[in-house]
Amino acid sequence: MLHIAARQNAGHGVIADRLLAEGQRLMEAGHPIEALRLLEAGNQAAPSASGWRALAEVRLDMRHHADAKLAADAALELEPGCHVALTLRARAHGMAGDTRAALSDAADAVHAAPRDGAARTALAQALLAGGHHDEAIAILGEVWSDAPHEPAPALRLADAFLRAGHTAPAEELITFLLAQPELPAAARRQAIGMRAQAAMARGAADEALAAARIGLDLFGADAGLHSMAAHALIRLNDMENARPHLLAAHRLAPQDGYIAHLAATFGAAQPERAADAYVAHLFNGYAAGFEASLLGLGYRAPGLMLRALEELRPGLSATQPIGDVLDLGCGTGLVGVVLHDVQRGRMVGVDLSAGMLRAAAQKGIYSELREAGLDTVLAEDRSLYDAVIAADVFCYFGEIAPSLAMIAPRLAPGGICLFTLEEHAGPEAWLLAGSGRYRHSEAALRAALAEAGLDAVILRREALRLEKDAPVQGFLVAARRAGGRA
Amino acid sequence: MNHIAPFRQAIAALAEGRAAAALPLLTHCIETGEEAELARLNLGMALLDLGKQTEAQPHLAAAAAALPELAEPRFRLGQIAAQRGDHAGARAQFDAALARDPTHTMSLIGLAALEEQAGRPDLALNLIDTALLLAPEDRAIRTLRIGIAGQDALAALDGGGVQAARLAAERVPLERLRAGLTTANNPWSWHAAIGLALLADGDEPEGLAELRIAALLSADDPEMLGELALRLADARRHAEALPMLEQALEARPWDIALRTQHGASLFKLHRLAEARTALESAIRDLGANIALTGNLALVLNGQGLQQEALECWRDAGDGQAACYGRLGVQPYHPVHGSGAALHKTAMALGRQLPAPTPLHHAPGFDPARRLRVGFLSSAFGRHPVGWLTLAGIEALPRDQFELTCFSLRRMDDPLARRFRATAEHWHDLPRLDDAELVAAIRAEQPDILIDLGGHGEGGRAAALSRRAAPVQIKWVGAQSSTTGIPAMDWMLTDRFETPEGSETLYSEALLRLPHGYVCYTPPPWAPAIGPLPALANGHITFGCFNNLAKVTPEVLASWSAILAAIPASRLVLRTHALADLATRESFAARAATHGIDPARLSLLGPAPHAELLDGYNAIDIALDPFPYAGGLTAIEALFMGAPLVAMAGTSFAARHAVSHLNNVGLADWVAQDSAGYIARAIAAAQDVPALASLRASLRQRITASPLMDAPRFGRALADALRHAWIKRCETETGLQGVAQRPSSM
Repeated sequence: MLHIAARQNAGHGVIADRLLAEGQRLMEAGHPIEALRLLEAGNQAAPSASGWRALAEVRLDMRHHADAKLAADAALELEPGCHVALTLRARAHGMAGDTRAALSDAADAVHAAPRDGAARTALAQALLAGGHHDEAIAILGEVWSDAPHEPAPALRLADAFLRAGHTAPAEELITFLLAQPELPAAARRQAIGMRAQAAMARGAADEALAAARIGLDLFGADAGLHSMAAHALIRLNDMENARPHLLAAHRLAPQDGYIAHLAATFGAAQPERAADAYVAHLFNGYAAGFEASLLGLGYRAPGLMLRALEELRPGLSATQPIGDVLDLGCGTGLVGVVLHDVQRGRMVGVDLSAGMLRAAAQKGIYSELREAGLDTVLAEDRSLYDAVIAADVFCYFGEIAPSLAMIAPRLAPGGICLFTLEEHAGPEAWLLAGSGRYRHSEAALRAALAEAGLDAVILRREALRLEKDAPVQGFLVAARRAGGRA
Repeated sequence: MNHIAPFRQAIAALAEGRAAAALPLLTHCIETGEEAELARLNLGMALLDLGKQTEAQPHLAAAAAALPELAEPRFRLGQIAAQRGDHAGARAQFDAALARDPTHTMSLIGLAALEEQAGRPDLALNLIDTALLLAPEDRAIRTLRIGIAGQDALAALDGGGVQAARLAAERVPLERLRAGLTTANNPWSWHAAIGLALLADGDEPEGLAELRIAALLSADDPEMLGELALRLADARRHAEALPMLEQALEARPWDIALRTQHGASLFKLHRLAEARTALESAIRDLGANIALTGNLALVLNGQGLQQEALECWRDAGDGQAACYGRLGVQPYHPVHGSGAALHKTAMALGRQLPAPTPLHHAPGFDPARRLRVGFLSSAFGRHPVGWLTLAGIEALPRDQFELTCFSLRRMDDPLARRFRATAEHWHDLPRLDDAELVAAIRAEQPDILIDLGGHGEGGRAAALSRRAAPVQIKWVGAQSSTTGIPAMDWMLTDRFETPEGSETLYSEALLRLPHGYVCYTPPPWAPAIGPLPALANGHITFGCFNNLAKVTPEVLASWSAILAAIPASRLVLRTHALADLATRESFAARAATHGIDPARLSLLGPAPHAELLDGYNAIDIALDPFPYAGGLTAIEALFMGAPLVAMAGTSFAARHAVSHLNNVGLADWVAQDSAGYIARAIAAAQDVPALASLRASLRQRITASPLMDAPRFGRALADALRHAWIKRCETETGLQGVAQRPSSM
């Protein structure tokens, strides 16, 4: 921290101004870490709204959204209603996944400065995150048409089209962008990535691969383009050539949990469980079509959960309902749907994916939804449940015993832990399948239950879902605390 | 009309820190006899304040003779002697000053510094304690004492100053510095200490940020600003450092570190003429030292003055620094750049480097196993090292080799990302001394370490004399001659670079690849090749896009003969140094003395890479310089369709183009002497149809050649590395304990 002996000293303002000016210059020159430190020092010496805004901006650049929000808060305290600070805070909320707050701030910013491009863009991004694609596209389209030759608005609009599933206009826009000879390299790289993404979206993996390769030729290596090439090759069933692309993507972006997980399935060191980032990313991208694709895949887990409960609680019905339920990895809320008629009390859903939780919330079934990892919730939650359910969740875990051990103390007397688990027949306790899912051996499952202090009351083989038209075999498990009573 | 006597005016000006204004007044006093002796003393002191030691010295000597009772002139003469490394002379002057005035504090301090340098800290401390009795409040003396006595550096920090910050950064843990900041009396020196400690930990952006805060809080204290500028220059941010250096030098023109960096930064910004002036005036004012000499030599070399550059080192002896400095410029010299002369200098350096420390290689010596290969470089990215090694490294078979990059500088560009994407392990190393660097590499246990820096800028090959891996190989990166390092086992080369019989020129064994020793990655932005420009121009255009340092008088004489033989022909040169007006003018004048009409020359500065490459679309024939040949530049000319006339020399640097031309099947473009070089260029210029057809096929030809066949190169490199490893395993198992130089391959 910066220390200045006499805070009343009039010289402070001058020093603070120089610190801020220097910080802003460094930010523009591409030295964000240096800029951040100088801006922090400047604000400490003599806080000002402009100082806080600059600080929020550089923190957003560095993706420190929590700190960025604090800086924007401070700016707004000094200058309430400032549309620039509101826009910055909206972006921070958006980065944190708080769509509602992002929408609110962005709407206020646009209200305060209706023609401001940054405010309108923030509003559109918030709408997009909230699934309001058409409104977002309308706004981004306006911003773009104000400056049709600037790459950033065009790229945002194309991205919105892609997220809304409108592949054709996205591709048209990308083609228009790429035809500009003066397009800056970073924008060109992004546009090429989107072209590949669009091709993937309409099932043309070969075109996606070609686009990614062009990008890689032009820009050397890039994590996104390598990852795109890998996905296209996986779709084309060319695992051998996908591997080096995934490893390259992983080396370029080691912090990306999603890529790390996929790379692990291709032989990089195996993590004990799928990174939270992988799970969140996977399902955020697919939330909208999730239920359809699950049903298409013959996803049976929610139905199996209900059947197991009926076996264990004869007479289960609206008049003899089950009480509080904790639904771990609730996704879009399919377990809530199947239990709806036979459950009363708290229905708590937990998932890593904000997109999934939004879909679950729309069902109006859950009394509480939490965006968090399952371990986090199990560690914090002190209440007891009549059933703790994890349908198609442990396929993202290698070691399951620690999680099961955390579930056991959450079971009310007579409470049931219900889950599915994909099976493999080999000697290993678990392995990571090419699908990116973990599969477990029966011995490992039994050992994990014992270690967690759970007794299986149902443990039988079931076909859990379809993959490439073949059923995936696994276990349906129901368990109670060891020594507990029915 | 001013009635105050000039001497009083001068004293007033000096008291106000306006030394420059005092000079004419004091000179006037000496001429008119008004307080002449005192005026002479003050003139000497004023000149010292202005950083003009050399000019000051005779005035101070005269004042010492004329005012024998005064301590001050003696002390000042002692200061000059000390800075120039004349310790005996300095001691005599300080003693003489103290004989005249035993309370002359600064002379006590001067003596203390000499004692400390001589390794007698106890005597130094006695002198300092005496000085402190005389000047108990003096902050600088207190800091000095703490520095020598190894006391708690925090005490000094509250007194303020950059020196105190340096001490604290060295001795106080970062957390304590941070914790102390809240209660600090002198916060800017605390920020400076934190910044310096962060930089020492390799945290460049945070460290620089703290130094910037310190500089701002210190109200631009010149010493602080100078420190920040030096650290920015370390980070290669010369454009930012330069104005700070200039501002700091206004107050500290006698600061030799700042004067040196000022010249060096001007050089890095390609302002060669100004760099030369700055360095020459620093040497004139303050006397020569290794750093000033080394930078001046590089600047002169950069201006194409190879003889003047090498002469900078003439009187510097044969110590490590001098050998090292010579190796930086000698390969360019028309005579002393021979393979044999470079071998002599490199061996002289190698003999002075530390011997290897014992290395226990835990992974063992199985000749067939997968090997961990390390690469050491400050240029994993857009740099000749990148363009010439990346494709080959990517092509190494991964079931046999696992790659680790030891990076000495962070780079972020398309090539840099490809390096990152291909290496299994990546280590961004902070600034380390030689022993630490070797320890850091050893910790990763590479079986083979490949050096990509040599003795060039940013290169750390000398550190490898301590041995960082069981097998050490020199490859691209200031690969101009042998390294002379006994622990460098192999030189990666080919049969054109180092034909049979070259072994005597290398301390390394020669690890010859079957075709070329590099594998070229062309940039995706390379433009297409146009038609032969001569067809539209009606005359031949020769071109050379090499560094001006490579253009020797012999090269100019050859070019002059070629231009004279081909009427209406033109010569286009393009390089950084030519953007500097004074350098361009003096070069044009030099060319004129060789009979080259300036009107036939186009002298162009740098251009973005794509534009530079496109420049070859205006060149019919590229002329390679000698003895230091084009490396990447030669390949780029060929890739852009411009055939290249080259001359074979004896050093590694003198045979780059020989290798490249042979590998694309243009061996007949290599001359053995300057007469052959001239004749080859003339013959080529006289056959325009042949030039046109060669140009049309050259891109295809080089693309299909070993120079760009990455899979073939990868296999050849794999075989060579395996050969080197097997040889090492043999010495381990067969001839245990017998160190043996492997024979060349």
